[in-house]
Amino acid sequence: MKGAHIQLTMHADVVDRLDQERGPHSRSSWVAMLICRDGDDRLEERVRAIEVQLGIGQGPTQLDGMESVTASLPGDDRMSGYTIAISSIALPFVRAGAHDLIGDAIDAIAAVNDALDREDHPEHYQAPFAWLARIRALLDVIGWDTTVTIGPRLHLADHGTTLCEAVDNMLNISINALREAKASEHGRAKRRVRVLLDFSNALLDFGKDLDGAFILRSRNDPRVRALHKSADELLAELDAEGADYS
Amino acid sequence: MSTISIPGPVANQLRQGLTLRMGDAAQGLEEASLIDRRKRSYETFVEHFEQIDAIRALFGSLGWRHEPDPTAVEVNLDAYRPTMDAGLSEATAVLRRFTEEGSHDDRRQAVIDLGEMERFTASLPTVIA
Repeated sequence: MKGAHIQLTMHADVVDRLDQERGPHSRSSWVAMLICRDGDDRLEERVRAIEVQLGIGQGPTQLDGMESVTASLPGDDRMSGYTIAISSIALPFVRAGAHDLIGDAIDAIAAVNDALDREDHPEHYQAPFAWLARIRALLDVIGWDTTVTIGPRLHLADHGTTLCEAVDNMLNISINALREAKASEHGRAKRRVRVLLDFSNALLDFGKDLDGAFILRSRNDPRVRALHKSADELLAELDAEGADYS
Repeated sequence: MSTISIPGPVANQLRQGLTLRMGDAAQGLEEASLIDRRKRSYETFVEHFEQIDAIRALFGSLGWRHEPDPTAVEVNLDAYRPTMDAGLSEATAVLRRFTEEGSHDDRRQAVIDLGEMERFTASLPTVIA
């Protein structure tokens, strides 16, 4: 397992339960089980190595009720060998975030198109067009509509940055929606924030290499930290109010 | 493959027309991105993507930069005809407007440019649907 790193995020209450029941290595073993379900032979080999290492070999049936993101770093190379899976729970939110990014990229294209100096600086079109192309490429992989429901696996080198943008964009929208939600909508709105926060946090950790350096540069952004803090505080505030969101 | 030589001044006008078409396509795409999230699909966006991709492709052949001393540009007519027609149509409409607006000199220049544009458009082979 030299050079490999596997990351999982899940509901805080599930994490607490696992930590109590199974000790500090439980998170790695649960990730191992999730990855096993992918049917990727190479990954299964790695997972068996983890299980042997930890002395754990539980079945996947205990995954019920967990909000999860799995990630694998199958090689020692930096981002080029890394893939990440989007859970089917997070997938619709990521997709919606990516759809919304199309509007942002188009705004950027329109801004260049409307600029008086566009004829002297056509190179200004390059960045927003490249952004739009990245968003389209991400949606090509994760599916443009709800007919794709099984979480796809993405190559981080190709889609990591755009994935982060889509998740953070939707998290931001979802935080605002939760703040403005009626009591009857709180459960769903809170669940969405939690799923996206978990995923965004996973990307934060996943975006570092084994030495802790950021390979996903967008993760090393104070705005991401601020977004997470904002979500954490809002969720804590609602939890403190003692509302039942189940 | 049939290519056509676009006179320099017409190429500049065509660039203007394509920029306007790009703005229209961008607006269409922005409106598409605002529809209900649950109703979005690839079909929601595809028409606008195709428009933008086609305009970019023609710009790639034509050159993006407005040339102060424009020279003729060779363009593959088979590949870009619909987009070129749309750009020429847009540019022609703008020039027509300019023949009625602005200073005397501006209007006179617009009449010259419009004449050149219409001669070029008339010289294009008829598209058989």
